[in-house]
Amino acid sequence: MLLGVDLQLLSQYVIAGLMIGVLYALMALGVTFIYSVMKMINWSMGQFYMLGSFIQYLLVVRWLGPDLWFVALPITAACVFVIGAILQLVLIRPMFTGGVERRDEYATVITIALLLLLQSLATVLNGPDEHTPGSHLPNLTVGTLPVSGATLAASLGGIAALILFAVLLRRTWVGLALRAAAQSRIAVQTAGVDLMRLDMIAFGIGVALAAIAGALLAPVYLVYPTNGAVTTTKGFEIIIIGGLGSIPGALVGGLLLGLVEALGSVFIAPAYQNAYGFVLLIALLLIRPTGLFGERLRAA
Amino acid sequence: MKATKLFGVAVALLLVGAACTPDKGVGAPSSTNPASSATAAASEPITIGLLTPLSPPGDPAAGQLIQRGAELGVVYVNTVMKGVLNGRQVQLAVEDDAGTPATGATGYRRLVTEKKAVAVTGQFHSSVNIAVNEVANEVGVPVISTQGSAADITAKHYPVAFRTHVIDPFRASSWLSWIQQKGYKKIALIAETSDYGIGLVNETKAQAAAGNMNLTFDIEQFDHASTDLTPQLLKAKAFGPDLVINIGVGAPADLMLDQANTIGLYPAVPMLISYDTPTRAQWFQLHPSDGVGVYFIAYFSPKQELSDAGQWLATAYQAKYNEPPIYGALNAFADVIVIAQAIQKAGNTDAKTLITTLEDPAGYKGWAAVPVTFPKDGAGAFYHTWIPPILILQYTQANQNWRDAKLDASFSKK
Amino acid sequence: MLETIGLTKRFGGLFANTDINLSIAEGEIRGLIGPNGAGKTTFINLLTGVEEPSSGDIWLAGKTLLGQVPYTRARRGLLRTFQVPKLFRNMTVLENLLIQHFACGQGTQRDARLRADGLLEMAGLTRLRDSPASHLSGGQQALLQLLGGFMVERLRCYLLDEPFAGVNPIVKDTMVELIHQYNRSRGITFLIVSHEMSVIRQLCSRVTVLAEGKVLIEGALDEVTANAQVIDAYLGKTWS
Repeated sequence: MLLGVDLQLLSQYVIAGLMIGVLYALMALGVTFIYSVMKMINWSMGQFYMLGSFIQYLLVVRWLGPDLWFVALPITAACVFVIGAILQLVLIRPMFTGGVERRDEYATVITIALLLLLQSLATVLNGPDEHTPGSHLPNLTVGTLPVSGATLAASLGGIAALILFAVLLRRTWVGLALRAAAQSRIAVQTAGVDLMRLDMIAFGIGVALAAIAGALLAPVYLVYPTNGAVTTTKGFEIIIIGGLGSIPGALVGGLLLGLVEALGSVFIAPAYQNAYGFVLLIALLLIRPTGLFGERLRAA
Repeated sequence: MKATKLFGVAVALLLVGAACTPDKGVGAPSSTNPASSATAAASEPITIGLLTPLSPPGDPAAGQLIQRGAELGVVYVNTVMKGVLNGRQVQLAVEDDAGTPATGATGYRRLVTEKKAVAVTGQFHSSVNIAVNEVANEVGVPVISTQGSAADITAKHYPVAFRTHVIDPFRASSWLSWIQQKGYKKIALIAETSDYGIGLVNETKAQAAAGNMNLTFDIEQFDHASTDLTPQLLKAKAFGPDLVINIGVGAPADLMLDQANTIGLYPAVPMLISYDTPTRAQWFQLHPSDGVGVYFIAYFSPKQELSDAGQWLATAYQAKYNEPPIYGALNAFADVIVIAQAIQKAGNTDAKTLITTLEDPAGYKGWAAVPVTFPKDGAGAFYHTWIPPILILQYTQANQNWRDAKLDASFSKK
Repeated sequence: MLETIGLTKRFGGLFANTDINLSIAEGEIRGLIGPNGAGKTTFINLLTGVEEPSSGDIWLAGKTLLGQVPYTRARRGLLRTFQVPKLFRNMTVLENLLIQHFACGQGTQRDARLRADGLLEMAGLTRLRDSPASHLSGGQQALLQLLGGFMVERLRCYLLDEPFAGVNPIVKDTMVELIHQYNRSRGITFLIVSHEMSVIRQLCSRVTVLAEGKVLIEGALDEVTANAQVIDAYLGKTWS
């Protein structure tokens, strides 16, 4: 016993918190990554999570079956990458090429409009019904915590996606260019990089990350038109905790949020699970307004 | 230039988004029928308002069923009853309350002032219903709650507030009776932090205490937006209950079952789901392995006797939607035809007259064999409330149709 | 190689550049001098497409650059450095060079690494190869920025905006040496904006003087510095 808390229960909570934390990180990473390259916030991230869960569901139920979920996963990611790239081309690129003033505000309006559009479209096409792609993975035990196979697969898949993303950034030409663009959009253009094409890739990758989270969690948290809401709230909590535009911030923030929710649940009450993140967020903002890894704006 | 164009794109997107939300208005079926509109030409059609959740954060699944039932109610009134007040047609005006009290209150005002609705029905979320009743109490046009279960909807004894739904005190007393029949002693209540969840938890504890039932409770609460209920379920499991009562609405109810299964709480410990969500068509698609064996509250079973109107609805609904009606649709149907019958009996559409006419102890034809009555002398939440029988059903086979689910117990309000 | 015809840039009512006609021959190293606020950086920005001119035209090797975005200008061999070095500060020294290579899209990663290593060797930065660019001194950053352009095979015309500002004499010598070497061995054309007259004298056969957004005079450095108008302009007087 620790402070009157069953240690078994505590360990179970911590494991569950870290497992979901990986997926929180994935949800937040997309927003922070798009911000770091494009300097705009994509408010419709939750809807790409939803899109990922629906595409995964359709692929699994119509063609592949629950045993081939891991085959469906990259297809889902690729589909959402393409959808994201097209949306960037049609809706977001004009803001950057037209010399629009107050681009941030347009980005906000456009992506919130996109949020409503995608959510309403899903409600119309699907109706409000819930679905699941199903899973044949057996239940098992991680440490002290009994988990469903699908949950464990989602966490491991989330880790794999994070590693893949890191490799992409560290080991490829595109990754190099993306990192460079995150530091100076002007220098990267005068160096000869086609920044608009790079933006398209960045937007596609960012929304695909959310879609991977949606696809991985489809059998665990179900598929329905409003299932992206959690991504939106948790994703933005994490970004403020970790620092906007910071990739390590998104990773650490995700795990931290999972952990804080778990500890709050065990030491205070699970009823306020969704509030602990905000408490952490407010506490952090008081101590370090830029978030854990955020940088203060340098004077030019 | 560019800026204006972009803003235009954004606005256009918003409009497309808005246009894609479910239909906001449904005319009377007769309005497209030249023959019947000729007969109604003498006088305007009478409008009944439908205020129900059709978009998130409300539960649009519930709202959709309610809308279907209400639309068929209008068809029934206009065809079988041949209209009211010498053949005047009835039409439905629909507003989306989005499960949000403020939106609901605005929707009620719009229905009453702009659409000239003589009565409003279709309410589903208790918190919205309570807010709407406050406005209705000022405005005076009656609201018949279709599926709002919180006590306060009628417990305030507002003359405008009516209800045709099971109320929490009766839901709690029903499952407490059932718990005693089964001999359960340790009960885990896992509930949303909403009016519905908190209301049921408090009612259950209070009645158990008042009845000296010698039960111990473990109360776990969660936010409706939660997707991971593992923390609550682990605590409940550590308590070692004989029964888990699942007081979640919508996705959380489904997630709770799956996650309880994962951590080994269910089916080792039986689970009772607090409302009829397992009667949805996708139940076994969502719960292929753990959907069997679960107990759930229901308000309708085909094994029950129906009124002739109820039978008409069952046939019409099956023909139109290719599935049998479930409770939400039945209740909304009944609300519409009860309003029509009361208008007919009152002889006009005046709100005050309509209210006193609805209180008539002789009652009105609803979907059940027993008439719908709104007792003026009902105590507390039982005021102006008609309660259908509560059933506890259990799935005994995979992919079982809910109509074939085992009827484990039935409780009627005496 | 590089020619501007009547190049003009207005910011609202303010003329930053007025009717600039400039012609730089292939293989020339041209100096661009003038007091602060003379419009030198604006001129570089117009050449590289960071800003669009209000009127006038820019030609590179016989083709207009108007309507070309910065990256296509870069791919046609027109590169630049910035007065305040715009390095990718969180990336390593090597990566800063590789990005330049990738951006102009030629050769394999192996070629790029070889070329980068060669450049770092020449510049004496080899031991800092894997350090983040932010760890470099101001002078080293300026040097690294200069090296970036040399990574590009198709570099033809290199615009250097105050490359020597705040650079210590040793690094400055290295930079001068590199510029000379690339000019001689590969025939690269340079336009160098600088206040450092001694370096300009070392490098440039001809200089152009810009004042209040206009070309004041063009000629050999000693010629132009003897000009009374130039002296006035540097002393901040107006001339009519």
